[in-house]
This record gives sequence, C-alpha cells and structure tokens, in this order.
Amino acid sequence: MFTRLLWIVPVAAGVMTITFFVGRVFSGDPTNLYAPPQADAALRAKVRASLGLDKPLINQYFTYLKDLLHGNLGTSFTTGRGVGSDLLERMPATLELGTIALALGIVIGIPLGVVAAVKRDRWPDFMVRVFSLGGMALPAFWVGLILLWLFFVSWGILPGPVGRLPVNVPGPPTVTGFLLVDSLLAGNLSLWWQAARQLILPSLTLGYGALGPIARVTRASMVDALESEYVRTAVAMGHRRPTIWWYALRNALLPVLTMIGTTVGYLFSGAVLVEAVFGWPGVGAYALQAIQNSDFAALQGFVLYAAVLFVVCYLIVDLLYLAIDPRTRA
Amino acid sequence: MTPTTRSAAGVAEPSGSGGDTATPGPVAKTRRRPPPAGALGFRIGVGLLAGYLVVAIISYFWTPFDPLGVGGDVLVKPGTPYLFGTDRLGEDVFSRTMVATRYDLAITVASVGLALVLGTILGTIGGYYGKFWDGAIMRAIETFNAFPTLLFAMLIVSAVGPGILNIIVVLAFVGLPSYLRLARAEVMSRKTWQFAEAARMVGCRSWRVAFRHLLPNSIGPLLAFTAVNAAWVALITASLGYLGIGLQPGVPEWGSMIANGQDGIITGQWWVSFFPGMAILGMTGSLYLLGDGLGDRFDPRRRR
Amino acid sequence: MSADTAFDPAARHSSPVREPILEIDNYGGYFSTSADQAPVLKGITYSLARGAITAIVGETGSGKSLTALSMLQIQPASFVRTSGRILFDGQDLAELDERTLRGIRGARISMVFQDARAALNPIFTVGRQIADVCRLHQGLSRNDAKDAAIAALRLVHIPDPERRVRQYPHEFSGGMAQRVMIAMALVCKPELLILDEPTTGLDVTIQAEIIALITELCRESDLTTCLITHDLGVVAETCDYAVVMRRGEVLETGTCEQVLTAPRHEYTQQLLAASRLVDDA
Repeated sequence: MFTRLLWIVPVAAGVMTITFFVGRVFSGDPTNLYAPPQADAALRAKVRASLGLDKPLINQYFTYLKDLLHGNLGTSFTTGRGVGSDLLERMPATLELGTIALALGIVIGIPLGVVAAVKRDRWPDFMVRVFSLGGMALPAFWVGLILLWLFFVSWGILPGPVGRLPVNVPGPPTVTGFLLVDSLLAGNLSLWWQAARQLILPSLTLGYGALGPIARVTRASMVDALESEYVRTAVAMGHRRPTIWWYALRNALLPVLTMIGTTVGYLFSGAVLVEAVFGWPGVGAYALQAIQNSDFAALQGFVLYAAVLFVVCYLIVDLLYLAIDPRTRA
Repeated sequence: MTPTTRSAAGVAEPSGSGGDTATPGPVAKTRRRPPPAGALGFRIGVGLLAGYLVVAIISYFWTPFDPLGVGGDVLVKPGTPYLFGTDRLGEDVFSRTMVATRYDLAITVASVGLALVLGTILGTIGGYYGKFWDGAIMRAIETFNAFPTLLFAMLIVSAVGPGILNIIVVLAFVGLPSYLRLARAEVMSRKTWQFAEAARMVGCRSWRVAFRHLLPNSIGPLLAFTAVNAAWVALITASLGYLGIGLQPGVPEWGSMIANGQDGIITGQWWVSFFPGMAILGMTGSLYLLGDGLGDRFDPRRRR
Repeated sequence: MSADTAFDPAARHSSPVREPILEIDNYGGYFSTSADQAPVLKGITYSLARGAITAIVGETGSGKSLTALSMLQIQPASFVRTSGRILFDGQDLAELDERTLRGIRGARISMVFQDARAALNPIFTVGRQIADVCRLHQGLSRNDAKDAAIAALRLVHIPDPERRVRQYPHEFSGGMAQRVMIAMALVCKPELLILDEPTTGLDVTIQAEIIALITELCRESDLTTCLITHDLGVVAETCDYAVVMRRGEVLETGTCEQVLTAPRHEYTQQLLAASRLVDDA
C-alpha cells in the first residue's frame, strides 16, 4: 500500500512537467493580455520581462518548480490573483455540485443495476439498459440544455442558468463554501431554498451522466455474482431471496467501487461542459477560461489540481478495497 | 405428465443456465429462454451505424438545402419544407446535420483506428518483451492517465490550432494508452500459454510469436473495447465542437451546432440544438450497443 | 440395459426394513436450450436407503449431478422435466412450492459441492456463513449461532475452531474448505446429505481424510449420505450401496459388494477394469 502512495510523486512530477511544457510551448502569447493593444515593441519587451517570459524555457521551468514547492501556483493572467486562491475560491462550487451528482448517481444507479441484473433479459432490464445508455451516450451539455428548455423555458418551474444563486441575491457568510450548508448555518431558509433550486438542473444533468456507467457496471457485476458458485451454495442452504441478493451484491459492489472512483475524479475536476451550460462558477469553468485566454499559470494550476485529485481518488478506492475485500489483505 | 420448468429462488444458475430469473413459485411455464437483449442491441447498433455511413456518403452528393447557404428563412420551426427547421443564419438544420455526419464519423473512425493500431503494437511489444520496455511505456502511460481526458484534449487541440487532422491526431494520442494497456494485458496473460510455447519451440522468432500468434487471440476484447472507445471519442469531438475548439467556424459539426442553438433555447427555438444532439445520441448509442454485442460474443463465459 | 427397477436396497439389510428416505421414480427431462431437445435424463429410478451411504457412480455427462441437483430442485432453469417424481418423505419434491423447498434445503437435505473454496462466499467469514444457515432454519440468536458454528467446525475436526471461525474462505486450504462446507451442510442436522464430487481436485491424502470424515459422520448420526463420484476407489472404501449411471440412464444398482464384485452390466465391468480395482474383494 505504501508503494502506492510513493507513486504519487513521480506521477505528479511527470504531470507538472508535461503541463508546463505543453502550456508554455503551445499556448498563444499572453503578452497581448497585458500590454495595451497599441504598445510598441519596447513596451512589449518590458511586459514580457515582467512576466518572466524572456528567460529561456528551462529557467522558467525551474522557477515554476521552485514556486510550486513553496505552495505558489503562480498568478493568473486573467484574474490577476494567485492561482491557488482562485482554485480554492472555486472549489466549493464544483464540490457541492459534484457531491450531489455523485449521490444521485449512486443512489439511483446501483439499485437500477441490481434490478436489471435480477430481472435479466426482461422488461425492467431492458428499460434500465436503455436509460443508462442515454446517460453514457448523450453529451452532458445537450442534456443540460434540454432540461433547461423543458423546466425553465417551457414550464418555468425551475430557475435559469445564472449560477449558484439568482442574480443579485447575496450569498450567506462563507463557512464551508457549500451554499446548502452555509445558508442553514446562517439560519436563512429562503436562501437555502434558492440555492437548492439553482442546484437541481445541473446536478440532474451531471448525475444522469454519472449514473449511466454506475448502473451498467452494477448490472454486469451483479449478474456475474448471481451466477457464481457461492450463490448456488446459498440457494442450496435454503436462504431466502433477499439474503441471496445481499450475498451477491456485497461481492458485486467491488467493481462498482472502482467505477465510482473514476466518476468522482471526473465530477470533482469540474465537469467543464455542465459548468459552461449552467454558468456555474466552478473549477471547470475556470479551466475553460484559462484555455481560451492562454492563461497558462491558471491552466497548470488546474491540471495539477485535477491530476492530484485523480490520484487521491484511486488511492482512496484502493484503501476501501482493503477495508471491504478480505482477499486483498492476504 | 405435463412438462414443467423449475427455477430456484429467482437466481440464475451456473453452468449451462439460460439466464432465466423467473420468479419462484409453483410455476408450470414451458417458456423458452428469451433471446438476450445483447443480440438485438448488436443488430440495432450495426444497422444505425450503417445508416450514418450512408447519410455521410449521400451528403457529398445531395442535401435538401445548401448546408452553408446563409440567408434563407431565419428560425423556422421544423416541418415542411425544413425538416429540422432553420437556425439563426437561415441555414437548414437537417442539411447541416447530414453534413456534420461526415466530420464526426470521420474523426471518430480515424482517431480510433490510429489509436487501435499504434496502441496495440506498442502494447504487444511491451507485454511480450517485458521488463525495460514494458516498464518505461507503462510509467509514461500512467502519467498521461492522471490527466482528465477532456481537458487534456482541449488543451492540446487549442494549442495546435483548428483543423480536422489535428483533432484526429490528438484524440488518437489521448485514446492510445487504453489500447496499449489492453493489448499488453492480453498478451501478457497468454504469453505463457501452450501454443506460444509450442510456436517458440518450433523455431518462430519472437516477434512472430507476438504478432502472429498471440495477438489474434486477443482481438476479441480489444474490438469490444474499441466500440466503447469510439463512442467516447465521438462525445469528445462533439464537446470540443461545442466549446468552439477544433474545427474552423462555420464547418457543420454537431457539437458546434448545439452551441449555436444555445441562445435559441432560452427564447424557445429548441430545434437548432435538439436535432444535432439526437444525432450524437444515435451514433454514440449504437457504438455502445455494438460494443456490448461484441463483448458478449467474445466473452468466453457467456454461453450462447 | 434397463434399470433395475425392482431393486429394493432395504431388503438386503440385515436390520429391520426401513423405508428409503428418498426415492426417484422414472425421472426424466431435457434442456430447453438444446437444439434437438434430446433427453438428458431417461427414466432415472433409484432410492436412497436410510442411514446408509449410497454412491452414485458415473462419468462426465452421466447425469448424476443433474439428478442430485434435482433433489434439491436447484437444477439449471433450462431443465424441463418430462416424467417422473422425486419422493422425499412421501412428497414429490418437483411439485413443491418454493417456500416449502427452502425449508427443506439446508435443514432436511443438504448439499456439498465440488470446489469448496469457490462455493463459499469470499467476503464473509466462514463463521458468519455457517451462522446464517443456523439462524435461518433454527432461529438462533447471534451468539448461539456463533457457538453452533464453532461446534460445527469442531465436528469436522478443524483444529482451533474458535479462531478459524473468524477467518475467510481464502485462508483455508482445499481440504479444510471442504470440511467447512460439510460443517455448514450439517449444522442444522439434516436427514440427507448429498455430496457432489467432494474430493475431486484434492490431493490423494486429503481425499482419504475427507472420505474418512464423511464415513465417520454418517455412521455416528444415522445420516443418509448420497455420494456422487466418478472414482471407484472412493466407492469401494466407504459405500453401502452403489448406483451406476451412464448418459442419463441408470445401468445398475445394488449393494456395493454386489456391484463391485459381480457387476451385471458391461459398462460397470469396463469401469472396474479401468480403475484397477479388479483384484480387490
């Protein structure tokens, strides 16, 4: 298990290096963002120097690494603030949305998968498979748009894509950054309701994408479990159906756990498209902005965050396996 | 004595069972096992994809209206004569959807093909020759895997600039690690099998054993994975199009069409974004169905 | 080639006549998934004498396992019965409803399968699995069930049962796991124990141990045992009666001694010759 932890280091190093070089070598010239349009060559040269762009690439790389080790992720060209603080500011939005979407995915996906496995090759199975196929095959941004069209434009029962709160509504005092939590802590129920309403459509959109693969993997692994020898033994011992399903499910959940781990990584690194559709001020939108503005400091910071997140997720999954599957402890 | 079919506790039995999960009870059904949905799905998938191919080819010769023809009636609802309606610039959505098939299909096929071939070769080498090559390749792959894929694709495509060839290469590059892993795993698991040993004993040179003997046996799961991978590539292509990264503006692509129609959603013109999305669903869905069908066919555990 | 339908094992016993515990009468059927629906079991008829060990002998495809699974009605769902009955305690098992069957499985008729380690749930402790069976059929409390599990492990001579009851199946060797399976099968004191190739795949010395264990348990508690095997050596060691099957038919039945020393059927003779038991008494 400790070898797993050690692997973060070289992988993170590789990630940082690649991001750095890709960002620097390929991105457009950000000087344009800082120098006024009519600047002459001398002014531009000054701007470049102040941005540190005049030094050779290798020097820039080492400066970057040095800064990183001091916890300095650089300064964003577009916001003018530290990338680190930018990310920290935006993380709660992504995490809040991601958590709810994940919960939806698990709470709906797993039971659907179980039902599909138990009623294999019959109508419930067929319906679950079609439904989860939609979750995987449909682009998330399209789902978001269609949901908006239905619930906001046509029926008017849910608010539009203006972000976490309706326009001109101030947020609660920040404790955790999660609006649902902070508004409750401030005792402001109407604010809580407004935040919740804003969350409904984006989390449904994101959740639908999450539950597709989860239901699918649950079904497949539950089918395998139901066909296994130990289930046959349980039947031979006269166990009732719910017991047998539980015996099977406990085993079937292991591959599902891996899938959930991957999903978490995707959700928490800010599903860019969903954030774009709903105007969600999260980490993903930040990354998109960074790409479009060639803001490579921001981009590097984001990619590092995402990569570390993925590695941490896989690590947690490994640890959970250790806790749940006795065979891994052998 | 009337024939009876028994099943136990609604549980599918191992070895030779028909996957029948009939509810228990004094059931006296003589029902035969229903055909697995996988076979039907496979056929639907293939049929749909063939349809897309046909549409793409036809689009070179004929579309109801000029897909780039600006200036027609603006924002007309679907119906006659504009089957899918028109967009803000007066272009026929149906024609544009048809033409976009070309690009999305081409990019998907090309990048998946490239990734498949290169990834499989590299993976076979890694899996067969082991040790140094294997280690080096795997470490590199793990590093790349730590990136969130969409963002990585976005990053590189926006860096290298728009163009269909660029997209193909980038997506192939992003998809390659998966094939590599799969091929490597398959080859490694079969490396010590009898027939490989036999081939070596007979005097086949290493690379021959790797490519001629081991690889064909690993094709099954590889193909099944390819279909799923293609679906993912199609989605990423559409996503890139939606974000405006990738193809030149104006070129019809389902993702960018959806983006164009976005504002229309708020004002009630749903059709500009709706139909391209359905087109994506059709293609991606049929690829997944194809993948399921192939997976069932090649999975040794699923007895037919 | 016809089955010896008139054979009544009880008549050969020196003790007072006892009703056979289970009688299979002209049982037959086919698999609905096969193209030609050819019968896989044809007119199977034999009975299991109370308190005795009956061996069902046959090679792969003889239908011996399928018939055994039918006793518990856990045969593959694609199996279609076309004829016959399986009488246990006067009732046709094939006609009972699921609820009644569940009451019989594990409590009155138990089954042990070939690959014990695969047959046990890998993520629950052995003790939990055995205790679950106890609680199901006997309604014991958690603690009582745990004690019963420990006692069951002790019965099958697993050393240090208090510690082993908390272990997982993968921590047991093949032979030990088979003992665990037998413990689980016997914990509710069934009347009939069916063992489907319990020793196949185990080392020879372990095989002997398991067979000795089964014999001991059977004799001690008047347990009826149905031992399915293809190994005539095992049959010779332990069994009172033998039933020889081939390709879905019963070829002959009789006491062990009869079948092994004076086989009536040609196939049985071939089996004997191949197993090199010919010189044994």
